[in-house]
Amino acid sequence: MKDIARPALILLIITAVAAALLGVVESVTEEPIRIATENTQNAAMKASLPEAETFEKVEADFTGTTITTVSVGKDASGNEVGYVITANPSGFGGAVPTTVGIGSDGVITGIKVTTPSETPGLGALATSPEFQDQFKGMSGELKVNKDGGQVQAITSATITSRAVTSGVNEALTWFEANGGAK
Amino acid sequence: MGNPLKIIKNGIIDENPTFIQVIGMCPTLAVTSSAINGVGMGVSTAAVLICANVAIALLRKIIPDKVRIPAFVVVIASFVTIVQFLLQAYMPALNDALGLYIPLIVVNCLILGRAEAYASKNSAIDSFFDGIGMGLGFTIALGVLGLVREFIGSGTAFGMQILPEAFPQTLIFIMAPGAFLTLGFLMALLNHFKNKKSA
Amino acid sequence: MEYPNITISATPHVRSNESTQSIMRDVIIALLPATAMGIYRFGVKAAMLIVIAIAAAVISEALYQKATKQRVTIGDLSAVVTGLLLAMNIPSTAPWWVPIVGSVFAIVVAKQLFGGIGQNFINPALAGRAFLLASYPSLMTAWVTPGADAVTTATPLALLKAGNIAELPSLTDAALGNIGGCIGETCAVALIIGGLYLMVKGIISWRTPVTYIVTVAIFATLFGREGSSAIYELMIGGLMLGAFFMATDYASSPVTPIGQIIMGVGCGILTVLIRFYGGYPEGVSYSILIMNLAVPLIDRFTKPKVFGALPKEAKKA
Repeated sequence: MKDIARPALILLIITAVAAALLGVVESVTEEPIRIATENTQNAAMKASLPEAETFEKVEADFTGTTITTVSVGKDASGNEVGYVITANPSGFGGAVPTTVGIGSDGVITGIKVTTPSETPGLGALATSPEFQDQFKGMSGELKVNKDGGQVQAITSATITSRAVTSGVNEALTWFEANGGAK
Repeated sequence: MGNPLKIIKNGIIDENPTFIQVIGMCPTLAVTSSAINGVGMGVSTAAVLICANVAIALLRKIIPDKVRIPAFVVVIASFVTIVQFLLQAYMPALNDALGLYIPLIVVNCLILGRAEAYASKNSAIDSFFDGIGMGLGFTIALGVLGLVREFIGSGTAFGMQILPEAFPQTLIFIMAPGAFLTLGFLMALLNHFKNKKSA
Repeated sequence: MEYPNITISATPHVRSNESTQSIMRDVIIALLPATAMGIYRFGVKAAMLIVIAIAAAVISEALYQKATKQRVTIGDLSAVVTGLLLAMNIPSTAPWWVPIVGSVFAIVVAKQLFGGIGQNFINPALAGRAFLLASYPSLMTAWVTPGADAVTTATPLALLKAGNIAELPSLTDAALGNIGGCIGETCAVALIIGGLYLMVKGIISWRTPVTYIVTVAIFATLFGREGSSAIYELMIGGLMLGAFFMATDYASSPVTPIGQIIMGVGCGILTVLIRFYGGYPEGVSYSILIMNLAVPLIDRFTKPKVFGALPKEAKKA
């Protein structure tokens, strides 16, 4: 019995000390982590809606779409300047998170795309400024040029281009249905 | 007490974790698509290794043999979690780049291996230098691997554009097959020089 | 005592006339119709790429063998065949350095590093092509229409994958190579002629190519896709090139007859799966490479019974 009790006790002490130490570190870093995550999110949203200074999350039901978050963007004086909507359409290798900034007039102010699972050199080019910048100023229902629309798809990466376009369309549709152009 | 410089040199050259011991391959292959990521992972692993080595060496007379592996894992996991908190708080960009490979440092053979093979049998000071040596060896290996892959695959080095944009980027090198190819070639190169020296 | 009229030697005493060089020469002859069609369709640019690929392959093999102090064996023409096959697998719009990179990888990494001729575990030309496709995807998928006024086009397979039926070329166009595609893969008829030559001459066995093609035809009939028929699927893409010239590489294909049939069936199934349901428009190169990896297993499980061996029950008794 003794040769079970002693190892167990020592292991318990080691684990308890480790847990206590972790608790301390966690409480010390909790605030900086929160600030850091908020800053990254804000920076990403500001890239799509440059006029906004602060963002407020909108609580809503997004079933039926791939939208994950919607935030209202307000400028320094507190006036609403638009919405930032993040959708998650399915691309070639996986989801293609697409953040769309839409001004109060229903026109796109910018988009930001990340491509964690798309092919480098093909679908991953969706993160390039050349591809993303073209969405600025567009509105309405968008299609890639192959389907008769104005969105210039990436050469040999039609699936990814179509995915981003569908994500942007979802954002525009939600905007029309819930905020609407003013 | 061993000679600190000898212990450190051992970790960098004679028993280099990546090229000689061939351990810790998972992060080595996965995060070396750029030099910064490789070095970042190397430094994070080195930090955990040094702390874990010292802690385990200090506790080596207390930890009963029966429960040494669980004890080692608890110690290592605690340090990895601390490193993860610190990265999330103060270096969020690196944290995002390394992603889930940071918590995977817990199962990196290198750390548990050194704990078992060295820290549990040597003094805290010797284990400290061993951690430095192995950590440096690992970081240098990952840095070199990352640099080669980044240079051939993106034309950049540490994020700075070196090759002109028009120069073709051989994308396979920033993907998984490129990792294996580069590691193989580097190992072959090192073996070639080692054999020449001993011949 | 002298025996002036007797030659004394060890076995074997009966030899065939074949050498590696003669076999490779026959493969090159078999590839000539498709090469000629490729140059006819895609012009001087295609001819240049072919020459560069062959030169790069031969030179890199010679340099590697010199550097590793081995006997230089470029005279056996196997590097020429690899270079030629690699060139057939790239589009005519590829920049001049693409066949160089591909040939060097195919010869040095896929062939020489693993032991040289007869020891490669995958088809070197296909390995080179896979390397190029992964490294330079937009360059390797930039096809043009054949003829004088070349415009960017998609291959029939790419059109089928995108569901773009309206722009598909006709069956005759596909069979005669009047379509977009890599230099050597477009003219199915020329490749079939070459394949028949190889089979008649006994250079390759009919088993792998025929079962490969038949499997694709059967699956295309059973699980067809809109816009294409079984015979159309056979004429487009790299199927004829792969079935006759790539899947039959001696070192990376099975030795046993049943094994060769298994290889053909396996390649066929994988090709159809990738073409119909996978993410890539073409499945031939990947299916052959995957089956190459399975060849040691296939050979092990299809070992023929040793002549005179006892049945298992008698052995136990």
